[in-house]
Amino acid sequence: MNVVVPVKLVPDLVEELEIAPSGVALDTTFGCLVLNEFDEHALEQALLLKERSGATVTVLAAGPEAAEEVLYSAAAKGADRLVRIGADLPRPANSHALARLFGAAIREMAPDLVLIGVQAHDSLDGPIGPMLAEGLGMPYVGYVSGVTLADGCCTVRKEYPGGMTAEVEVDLPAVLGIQAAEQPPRYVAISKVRQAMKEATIEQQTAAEPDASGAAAVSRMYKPETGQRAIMIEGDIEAVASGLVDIFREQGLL
Amino acid sequence: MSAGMSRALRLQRLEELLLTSCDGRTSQELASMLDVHRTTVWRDIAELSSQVPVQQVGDRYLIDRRDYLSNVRLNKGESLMLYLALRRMLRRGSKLPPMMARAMEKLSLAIRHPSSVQLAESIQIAQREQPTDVERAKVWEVLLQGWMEWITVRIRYQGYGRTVVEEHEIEPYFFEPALLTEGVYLVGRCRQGTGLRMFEVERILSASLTTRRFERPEDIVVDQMLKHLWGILYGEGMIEVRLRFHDPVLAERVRKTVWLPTQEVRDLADGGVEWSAQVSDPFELVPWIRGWGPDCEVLEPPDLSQSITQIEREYGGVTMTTALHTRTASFSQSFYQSLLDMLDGERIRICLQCSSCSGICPHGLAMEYHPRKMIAALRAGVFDAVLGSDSIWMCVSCYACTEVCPAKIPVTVGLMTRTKEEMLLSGNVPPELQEALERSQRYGNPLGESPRKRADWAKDFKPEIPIMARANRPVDVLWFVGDYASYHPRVQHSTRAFARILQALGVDFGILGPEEQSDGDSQRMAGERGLFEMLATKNGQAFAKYRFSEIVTTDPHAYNALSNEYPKLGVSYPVRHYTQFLAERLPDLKPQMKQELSATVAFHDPCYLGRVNGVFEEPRQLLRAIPGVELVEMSHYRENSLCCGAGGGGMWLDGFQWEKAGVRLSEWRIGEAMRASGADGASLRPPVPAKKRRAKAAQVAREQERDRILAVACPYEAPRFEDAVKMVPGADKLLVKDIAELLADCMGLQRGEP
Amino acid sequence: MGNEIFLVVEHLRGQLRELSYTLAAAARAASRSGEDRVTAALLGHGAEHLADELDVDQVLYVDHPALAEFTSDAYRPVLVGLIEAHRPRAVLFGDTTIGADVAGGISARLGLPLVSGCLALWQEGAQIQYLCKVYAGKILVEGELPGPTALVTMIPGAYRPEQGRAAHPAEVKSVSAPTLEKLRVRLKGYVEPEVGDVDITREPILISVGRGIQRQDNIELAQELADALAGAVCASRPVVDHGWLPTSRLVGKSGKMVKPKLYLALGISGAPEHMEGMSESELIIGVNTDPSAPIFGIARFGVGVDVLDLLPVLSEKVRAAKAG
Repeated sequence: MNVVVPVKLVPDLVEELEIAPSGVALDTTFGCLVLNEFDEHALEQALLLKERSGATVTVLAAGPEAAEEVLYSAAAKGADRLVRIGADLPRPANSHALARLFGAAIREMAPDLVLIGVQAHDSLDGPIGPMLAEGLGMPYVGYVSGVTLADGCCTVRKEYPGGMTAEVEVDLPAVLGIQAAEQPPRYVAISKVRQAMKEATIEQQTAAEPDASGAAAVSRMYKPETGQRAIMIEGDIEAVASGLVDIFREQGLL
Repeated sequence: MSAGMSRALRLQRLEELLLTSCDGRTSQELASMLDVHRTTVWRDIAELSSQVPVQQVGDRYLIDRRDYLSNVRLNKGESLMLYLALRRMLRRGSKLPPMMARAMEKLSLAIRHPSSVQLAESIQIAQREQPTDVERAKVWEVLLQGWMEWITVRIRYQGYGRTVVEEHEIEPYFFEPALLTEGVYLVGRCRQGTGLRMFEVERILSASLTTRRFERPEDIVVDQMLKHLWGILYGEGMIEVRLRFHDPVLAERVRKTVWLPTQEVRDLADGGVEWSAQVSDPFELVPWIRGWGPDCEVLEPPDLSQSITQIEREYGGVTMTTALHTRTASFSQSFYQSLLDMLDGERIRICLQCSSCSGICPHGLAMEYHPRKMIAALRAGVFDAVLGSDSIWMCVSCYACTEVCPAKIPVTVGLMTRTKEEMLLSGNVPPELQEALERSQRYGNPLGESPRKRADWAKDFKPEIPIMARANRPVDVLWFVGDYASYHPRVQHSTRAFARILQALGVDFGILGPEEQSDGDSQRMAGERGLFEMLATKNGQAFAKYRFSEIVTTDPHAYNALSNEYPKLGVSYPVRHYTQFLAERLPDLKPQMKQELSATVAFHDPCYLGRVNGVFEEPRQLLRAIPGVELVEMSHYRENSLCCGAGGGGMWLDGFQWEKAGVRLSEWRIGEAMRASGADGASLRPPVPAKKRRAKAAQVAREQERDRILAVACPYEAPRFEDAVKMVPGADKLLVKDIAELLADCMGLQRGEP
Repeated sequence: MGNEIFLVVEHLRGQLRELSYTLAAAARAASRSGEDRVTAALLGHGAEHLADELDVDQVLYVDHPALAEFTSDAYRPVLVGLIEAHRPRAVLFGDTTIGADVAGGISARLGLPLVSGCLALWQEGAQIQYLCKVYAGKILVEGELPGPTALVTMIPGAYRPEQGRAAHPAEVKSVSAPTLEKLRVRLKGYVEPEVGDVDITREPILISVGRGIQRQDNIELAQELADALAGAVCASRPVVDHGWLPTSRLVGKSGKMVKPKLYLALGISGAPEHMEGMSESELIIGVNTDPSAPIFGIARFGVGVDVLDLLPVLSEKVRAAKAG
């Protein structure tokens, strides 16, 4: 059972995001990149499958150097194979481009299962999973929060609103968009990551710059206006609490 | 409760019933509750009255709680000693005889201290878990009566590891706790022979009183008798026990300590020793021998050696050099070995299992595997069980255990931290802590705040606070600010206060600002050595870029790391804690201390400043210098200071630890602070006769105007203690202030935002 | 000849999902009345009247047993066929567990551009403009919807469902389904969330806890306030992920949609997935120490103090106000 987990890095929202002078993109000199939270869950789910059914886990990253750290960390957690694609290429422009870049590499690997985060907060042109699946000719199910492997297929738990879930059977090979792994992503001690840096190898694969068509042009990018924001109730705890009680009373909620 | 309950038990139950009723109980009620006749109740009450203050109000009997415990008064030091002794007994005794539990409970309540309540409760819990053993209680009752009234008793006795049951008639002289194990011995003269004999009470199967009284020997000097006793066997002669200790470090220990009065120690050529002694019952030594682990070899007698081998085999893996089995390389072994390789690590071999560590551990009672037990498990080769439990995360790395260990084992750093490292390597870490560690790695601080905002607290300062990267010049002092001091809103007050003090003194200083990473010490103590090294390396690189004469830090954890750990990584600078730095400048500070602070101040010695690094005086010098301040000490102070609970990852394990322990160390400490500083209003309470009321009222008014302050000198403490103040009833009068804040206030430096 | 704006109807277990009305409203916003045509693509089995209250100009209904409930493998080829045949100006999907599962695949398959997470569409000149949220709502993006055909996934709650309702049903045109066999994705069944618990969709007052509650035992504080106000406690994703509250209390994209009179968001930053679930609340008040938290973008009132400090004091005052 060969499981592939393509991951990507996204801007960390802890930092203040700044718009580039062009006004249509983020200023990338500020802020730092972190592993997409949902991809972290996808990796965790893959590792759980490995622990349960002895699958091999390949982690795939494309993009800037921070990708290497992410790959070593994945190895320290238990990933078997680390691949970096297109290290010399500029950062893929959008999801479509990244999906094509991943697709070309993954096709060669002939995996049984591809686990990818169901979304990322920087995907204006949509999540990668469905596009990747289409490119690979595989079925896609997203918003998955549980995976059970069987022979030639798998059963997944697909999340629906209202706390409801659906049990869906999917033929393998398939692409699954992971919403949450069956347990929170595990901790990996830095010493283990350091050890992985010494022992693990990252396969470097070259690739041609992918076609980035499929996204809409951006005419303006901006931060939401503060004018639309809430009226702040000022003061210390006592004052604030009294203010809230007044509001409740006015609204007839008491 | 029915027939068969011994009188002793019934009296105990009667006492409980009388204690637990507010309005008292009639003899009829008591009779039906105890299932005896009323006349029995009257007799029992008469008996009980000789021991406890039973009162009669009309036809109801009760015990006045105020009189109940009034006979023991202890001062603070005495309270502490008693407290420690009780803790030690509690830790050692896996089975408390019921009477011991009751006695300990009463004694613990005699210690006028909130923690004593917890102690009493834990005794109750320990007792509750064992059903009252009626047989045992009966045996004790008989022995006690024989002892008190000089009546010969007949006993049936089964020695350690023996199958035969002996019958004896003895004159009970006195009781003595076992020298090497947990039991209690009855020492008496055996009537069927000459001389004294010792009997382990636990192994006395049954006892009954005879009708004969005996003559008590004129002078029973216990110690002298014991000396002889260990070497005299009733009627059968002595048995020689010979042990060999190969390891030179152990040998040293064995050589220097008198374990048994009749021992002889002979040096061996290889640096080891051979220890021999004559004892009455070699099998009494088994637990003690096993405590030495694989480093003790039994040479004589053969059946003892076989017995030990058998026991070791049952535990699997750990054997002695003379045994037939070879060592198996289990995880316990390799972990043990890794500990031995640490500095002073071999000392773990000479652990006496004295339980001082577990006794003084603030969370010891809430740990499934407290320090002593961890070492025992290590020696028994079952350390995996420890890693399977999560009790290690209760350790707050306060160093109290290391401080008291008579064998000077580096328990905190050598055992606790290493165990946490293993836990982390296997991914076994509570989520709160995991988040803090991941954030430290990603953002250089455990709070998950943006590194770019690290110096935001200094934004509007005038004059401007130099940030090294921008100032681009050498400074005298590099101020290592720290995580919580930079980001946490409460701690920022202390940080700003210190900045103003530095400016008032005209000190040429600078900060690293966004280049500063977490010092990493708490992360290191929480088991993330790799993370610590990463942070230290980054800080080292930042330091190397600039020129300064010394580092001053407001954080004891940073102080510890920078002084003791960073040099091991090649990052070495002179470092001082801010209290040391300021104490040196008292002559410059004093003229500026214009404002009087009318306050009673108790200083909390931070673990990493005080106990770990020996800095006790300077903070006190600063506090004493503030006009109007009355400095008081809490019951636990200096080396005995009680940890606030934030070390070793504790700051990020609050929920986890609170759920296990049921009480927070910080709340415990607030109770002490309240008492010491008078914030509990105790000085205002006693009723006053009319004549003195006006004077008293004036005194009360003066007292009420005084601030009651808990002074701290570590960034973890202010938020922790203020949270605790909210939780402890009646603590609202207590203020928590950093020394820097107090100094700034009395220097009249600007309060609030600059 | 005007544009055709498609929308992909979402239904679940025989019920039309409210999001479909939102899509209708969005489609109307993107179209010029009288010139453009709004078409609903309804895929189902025995479901031809499901879209009767949708404000559209026509319904294209494709019936097939395999389409009775949503699966990505069945929906995709059908939609691909419809889009190829009609070449609409825009196709609106829900940014949901249904719409988002297929939109991307269709985009890749047909080479059509995709815009995701859309808040609003409008006409400007001869073009359709879009407004989307990215970076968890911290950044807004505007642009022109590329031609000739663009795919859009709309955020539920982007338009009020009432705006997408029609008094009269539109014409339903049957379209034959393509062959749907050897489907690789098969729905086995639905699993209800835990029952016997509070139905937060029916509660008029909701006290919602997020990451800011910090620990499970602090939820008690929120419960106290809920009790004082005669409301119920609900939560955002992190709290439910930790297992501190059951999924039945989850508000958001994967949880419940709620429209209470009062929604008090405690320690919730306001991730879009969460806001989707509660943006229709009558009165939203946010409590968060981060002044830039997106929750303050939809809340009417905001408070910047720490949740844990506020709760006991607030509960006390509410009780006092109710008593006195």
